Amino acid sequence: MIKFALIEDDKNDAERFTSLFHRYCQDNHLNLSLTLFTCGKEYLCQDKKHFHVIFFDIELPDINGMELSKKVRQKDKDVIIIFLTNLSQYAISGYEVNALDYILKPLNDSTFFSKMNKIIRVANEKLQNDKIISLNNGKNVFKHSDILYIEVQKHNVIYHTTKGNFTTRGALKEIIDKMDNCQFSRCNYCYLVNLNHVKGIHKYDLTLDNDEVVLISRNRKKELMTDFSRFLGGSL
Amino acid sequence: MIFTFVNNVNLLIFIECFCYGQFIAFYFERRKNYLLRVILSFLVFATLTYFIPLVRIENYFVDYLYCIFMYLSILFFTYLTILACVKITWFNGLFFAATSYLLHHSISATISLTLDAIFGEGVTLYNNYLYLIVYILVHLTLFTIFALVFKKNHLYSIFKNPPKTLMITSFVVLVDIILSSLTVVIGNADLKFHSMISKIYSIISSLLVLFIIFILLKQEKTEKEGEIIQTLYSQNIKHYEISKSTMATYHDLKHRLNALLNGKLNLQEKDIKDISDSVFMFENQFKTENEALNVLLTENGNICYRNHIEFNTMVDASRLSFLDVYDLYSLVGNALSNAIEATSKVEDGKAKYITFIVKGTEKYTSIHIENPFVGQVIMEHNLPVTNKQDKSSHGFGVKSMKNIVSKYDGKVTLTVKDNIFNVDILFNR
Repeated sequence: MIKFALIEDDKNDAERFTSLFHRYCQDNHLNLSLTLFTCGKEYLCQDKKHFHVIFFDIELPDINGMELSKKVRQKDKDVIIIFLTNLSQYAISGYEVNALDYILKPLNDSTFFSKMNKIIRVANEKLQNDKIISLNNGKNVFKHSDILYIEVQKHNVIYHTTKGNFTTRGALKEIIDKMDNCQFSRCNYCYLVNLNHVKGIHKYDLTLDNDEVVLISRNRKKELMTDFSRFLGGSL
Repeated sequence: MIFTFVNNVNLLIFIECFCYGQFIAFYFERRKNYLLRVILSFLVFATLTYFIPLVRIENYFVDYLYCIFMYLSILFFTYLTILACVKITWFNGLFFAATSYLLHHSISATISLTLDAIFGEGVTLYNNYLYLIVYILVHLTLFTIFALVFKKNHLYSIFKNPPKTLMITSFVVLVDIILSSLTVVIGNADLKFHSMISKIYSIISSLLVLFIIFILLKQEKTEKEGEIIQTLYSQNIKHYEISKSTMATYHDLKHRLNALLNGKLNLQEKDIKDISDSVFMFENQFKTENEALNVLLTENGNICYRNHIEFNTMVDASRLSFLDVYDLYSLVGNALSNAIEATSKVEDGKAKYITFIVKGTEKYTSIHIENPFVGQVIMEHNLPVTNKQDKSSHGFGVKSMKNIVSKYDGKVTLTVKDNIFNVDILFNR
């Protein structure tokens, strides 16, 4: 289940948000949780709960929403940040915390729903990243996001992860099906690379953030660049 | 013997001019069946060149005129091949043909002077393979340097539309042809020294012209940029005037609010409109560190406001400093006006917004634009096909965006997902 938090001091705005949020859940038959905070302090005091998506009202009474989001981002690099604001110019520096988007108040139903679609899509990708993969009867366990790239050799699948390389039996086709909808791109006949870990793409190879180099095949280069640019832009 | 030799020389001149011409024309929009056209036009005109008959009637003056005619024909053939392969105006085509002729002449004269000295008497590219290979290699190297200097200075956009002053090139080519024809006609062993002087002269004059072309282009580019900056500047003044009028509106509003508080005024629809307009004016002031971007965003923000479109921007302007003002202006301007056009067709009350995000990682800069649209977008060759009547102008915006982005080795990706149109531009810096 995707967990949402809303940090909003204005009662009317919070009510409007909540009612639209529930309407969205109903219309799309989604089961999403929403926790409400009325000020920055209230959010900072609780630290146990983990959220996937946080909506920040920028004009909060105790702490500026932008400052608050910076604190949150420092602790959690994966959380999806969305700003709510009356004035669009307040959100212009949202790139600093890698915010996904912002929504202008008063909320417009259609715009809110349209943006929620994107938020849910991105949140699902992040959820996928948290999933645990267990190989060889539980001998090798790692998170989805730990995968650097997947290599297929004949009937063996090698997971190159930040925790080491693990081999299991399988075929490329099923891996591709399994990894569908994730931030993976096929850069070579036998490699599926996790775009989250790509540091740089060169002419014939790419560098991962652990400085490992993976070869790119010529006929997949174009597609890889397309995937990568959509990944960075947030539309993959 | 002399017949075939001169014909070979002519053929070589044509091949060089043809190659330079095609290289220069590389950045123009190609005609349909481009490759076929290149091959065919080459074959046709190479054949024509080869079989230009050599007339020698031992009358220096007639021979001389004929020789000039011969070289002019080669120049003309080069011109026709350029016209045949790319979409270009006849005037610009002439300029490019002349430039390729100059490139050919200055470079090959330099090479042959040097190589003649190295290889010694009697050795030419027609009877020595090593000479031929070195000759080709030097040509390639020099051209690559020429192309790189051009690319580095981003001169192609101006080069495509050369200023009229550049017709000087054609004039110098004419002089060049007249001079070199002279050496061909009277160039026997006794006049070797004269021939060398003439060669050196044509090298110097050609290089000088190339240099002038380069300077002129750079100047033209600076001027064009100056024009843009001027426009931006005058728009900034407008900007400033808007904020002044905002202040006036603010005072007026305050006055009316006071009257309202004192019960002297009833709030009417017009007042509410005034209030929201003045709030918008305050809201629509972009203060990023990039002046051109501020003007662009303000302009487009105004259009969005008039079309009831929400304009969402999160822009790290510092990432865009590597783009020329000219390029930034047309790239972002095009992208936003496409987005506005698509979104303004969405019914009021439905989702109407444009999201514009510029952000980056350590090595990459990404520009992302998304907007909802109505109807269907069909993609053809990764370009959207709109339902616009005028097929010729459609997609031009996207094409020019792609051109600009490819100048910086970037990539444009267009995708449609859940009735949202996404543009992603990636730069490797």
